[in-house]
Amino acid sequence: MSRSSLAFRAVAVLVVSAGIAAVVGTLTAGSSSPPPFTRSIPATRPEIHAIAPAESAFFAVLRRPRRPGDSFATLHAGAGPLGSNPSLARSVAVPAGALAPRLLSVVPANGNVCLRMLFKSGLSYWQCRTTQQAIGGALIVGLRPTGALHGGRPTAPPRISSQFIVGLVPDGVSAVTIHGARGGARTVVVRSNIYATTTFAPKTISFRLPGRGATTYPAP
Amino acid sequence: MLLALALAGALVGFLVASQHASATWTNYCIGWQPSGGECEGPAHNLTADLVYDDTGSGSWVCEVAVDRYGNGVSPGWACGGGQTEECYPGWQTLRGLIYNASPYWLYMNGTEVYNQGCP
Repeated sequence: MSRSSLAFRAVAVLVVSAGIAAVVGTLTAGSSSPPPFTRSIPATRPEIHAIAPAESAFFAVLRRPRRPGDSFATLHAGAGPLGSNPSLARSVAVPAGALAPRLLSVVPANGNVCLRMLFKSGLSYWQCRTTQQAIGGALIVGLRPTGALHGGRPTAPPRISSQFIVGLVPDGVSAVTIHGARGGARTVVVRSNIYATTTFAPKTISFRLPGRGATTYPAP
Repeated sequence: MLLALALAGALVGFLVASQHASATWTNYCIGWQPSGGECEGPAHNLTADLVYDDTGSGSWVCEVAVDRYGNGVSPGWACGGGQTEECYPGWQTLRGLIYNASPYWLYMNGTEVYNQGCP
């Protein structure tokens, strides 16, 4: 047998056996076809095991020692988004309200900082920003009611409604001002780097960042 | 040698097949959404639902999950900059909804996760 003929046979065996195994494997994986997906969820970052110095330097809440109340029961085991580590979380009390979380935690992540909220219904909500964005006060969350059902699903989140606004600001920011869409403004005191309030139709959130001056973000 | 090649081929085929079988998420509503645009995903026993502003602008995007009756899962719409994520226990059939809360058109997508939990 010539060398080229042997190589051809080898390749043929490889291709055929791979094809058979793929077909058998797919058939035995389940009767339903795999769901379509065109991209993967964002690459999971390695879970961190220490708070980044930049985050400790700007957020007193992450410098304080952990307390028993900082631990939270997770819905599922493992790291959170972007390599966040629940065992490094610090909890902060927030005002009660219909939209307010039962527990709010500041959770350091890999190059990011996250806010994690646990609700009475048992679901948790995560919002993360890069460390630099968080230092700039850009880690803001807005929670809105679902409103009435329309066509079997909730209507779009109503902007003109009561909302629960919560955000993280760096050390040195003692209060934020929330301006409403219909005029008026209210001041919210910052505690443990967190401001949180229920407010009606918020339009902007303003505060003074140490060394950077007045900063304003549109409300979510 | 042919036996070794056959085994190698079988391994490759198994890996290809198992890659599909282990899929635990699906993307939905990939595309441009106008300001105020809303889009609904398929039903799964959700463990997580994510929404992204794929333009990278960090604009406000919102998400909520609804049950089979169309009721939003408490507390309602959650809105954040660029990307948000909600985690669910995984025992309930839910659909994810995404919403463009920015004043601009955004290229968005939602991701439903249903076999892989988040804390």
